[in-house]
Amino acid sequence: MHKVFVILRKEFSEIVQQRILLFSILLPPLLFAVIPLVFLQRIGNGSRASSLAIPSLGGLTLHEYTQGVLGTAFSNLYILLPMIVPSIIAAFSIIGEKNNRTLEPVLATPVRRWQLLTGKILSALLPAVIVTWISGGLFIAELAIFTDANVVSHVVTAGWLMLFIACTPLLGLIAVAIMTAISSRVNDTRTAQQLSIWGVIPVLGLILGELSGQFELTVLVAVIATAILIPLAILLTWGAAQLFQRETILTRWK
Amino acid sequence: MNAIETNHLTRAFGSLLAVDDLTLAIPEGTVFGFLGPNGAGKTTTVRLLSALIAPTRGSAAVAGYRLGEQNEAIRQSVGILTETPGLYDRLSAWQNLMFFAELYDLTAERAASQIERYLHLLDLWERRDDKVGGFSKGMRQKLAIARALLHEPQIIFLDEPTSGLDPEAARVVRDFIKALRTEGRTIFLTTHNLPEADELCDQIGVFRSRLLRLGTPATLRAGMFGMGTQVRVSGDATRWIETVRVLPFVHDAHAEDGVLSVSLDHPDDQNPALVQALVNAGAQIRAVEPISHSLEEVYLELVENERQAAAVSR
Repeated sequence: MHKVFVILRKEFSEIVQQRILLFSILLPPLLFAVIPLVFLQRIGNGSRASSLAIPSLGGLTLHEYTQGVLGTAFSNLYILLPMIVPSIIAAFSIIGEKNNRTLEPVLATPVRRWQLLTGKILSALLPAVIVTWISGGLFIAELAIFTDANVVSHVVTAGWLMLFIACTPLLGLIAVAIMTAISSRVNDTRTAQQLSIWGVIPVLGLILGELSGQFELTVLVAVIATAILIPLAILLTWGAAQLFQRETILTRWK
Repeated sequence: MNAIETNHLTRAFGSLLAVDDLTLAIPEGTVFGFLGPNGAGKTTTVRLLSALIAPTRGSAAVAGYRLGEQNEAIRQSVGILTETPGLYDRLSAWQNLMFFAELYDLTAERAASQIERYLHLLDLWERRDDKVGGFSKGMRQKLAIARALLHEPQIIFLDEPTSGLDPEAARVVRDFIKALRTEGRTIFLTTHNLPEADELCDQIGVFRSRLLRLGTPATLRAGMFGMGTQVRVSGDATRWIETVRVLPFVHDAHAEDGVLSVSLDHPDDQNPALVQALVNAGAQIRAVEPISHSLEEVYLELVENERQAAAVSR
């Protein structure tokens, strides 16, 4: 048992020394502790449940509304999913290549930078988009089977559908670009994934904004979100491409 | 024609001058040894010449292509064994090689034929479907060499090819390098194994951020320590020092433990006269041998001189 504590002590001392990692570990729980305060306070101050009304669920019966709330909560996870899955793949892909030093022989071939980067991006992005869309399709089917008919049309709105279809690839691309940047500087996947939480925070804000009734996920909101995500994805991908230069990989990647 | 030519090739990383003003010409079909201590800039030089990184200044031509202008053509023309093999552990030997063969634009048929050829040559054919993660260090090194040769490059960079290998595996690799030379390929070899460099290399460059000395193993020895003859005599050899010093072709002589060491320019031509002089003086000759300095002695002397010169200049 003593050796278990010896190892634990070593592991914790390594974590504590990496301040960004430490902050990334503490931030999500902190957020999850603070955010419910907003919801709970609103419920506590209001006398009716509808003081926390989700606009898109207006006009439903209490039973349908309950199903709708759960359905909406889960539907918003599909906006997170395309950021989580490619991050995992990209982290293992890039950090694995760094640690095993397999990139240099590849760079020594006539392969062009855009070919290498495109291959890397698509290897993370395609599985993420496919599994997200399949999973989302299953979710819609489950809604149709297990909830009241009225609920599906209130959860799977045009705005949500547009966001789900159009923004899944964009969010995936953003996640891959961020993970490429992170992976070029860290040497273990655990750290990389912890740091990638920063990229998820804005998306969390969008989700929580809808759940707290701050706005409704309409087609207009989806169009605006898409219009913001497109240049952001292009910019971050360009940034990742700068990190994928032969010279940078060989001399600056730690 | 030269396979590799560099002209004041320089690479700096901030204030650190990793490669300083390298100028050399390596003829086609030779094995060129690039020796230097750890951190000397050997790997940086290899990366420069294989168009992986750009020079800070200077120029180079590799396989007739200009560095910086025809980098893709250079990468197509060279093969490189990197310091670590860099193979994909979860793929089989065959899959690893096929991946790289396709990156070198080999057709599927040509790739299969080349992979089969080199796996046979390097005695890895039976393990072609095994995951590389289960390979020994020697097997990985051989597989990485096969990878460097798939596209039949005329210039091959081998960065420490026998490092960490057992004697048998190292012998296989050295024999393979000799075979490549007979095919007319140019091999740029970095190594810490000085006997290996002595055995394999037609020309050697001793390098420590800059080129300290360039030549064949023999000229390097002669240039550093001169040439000479050792004469083993009966009795006290110091008796004969003056006898040989008066000879016009002798630069210097000293004696130790019954051995007379004589510095000469042309031992092959001058030894008969040397021996005759000693015999005429009454010496009893027991053996006559050339003075031989190892490449290690040359290398250590050069590097130490450089270190001292660098310390003085600071």
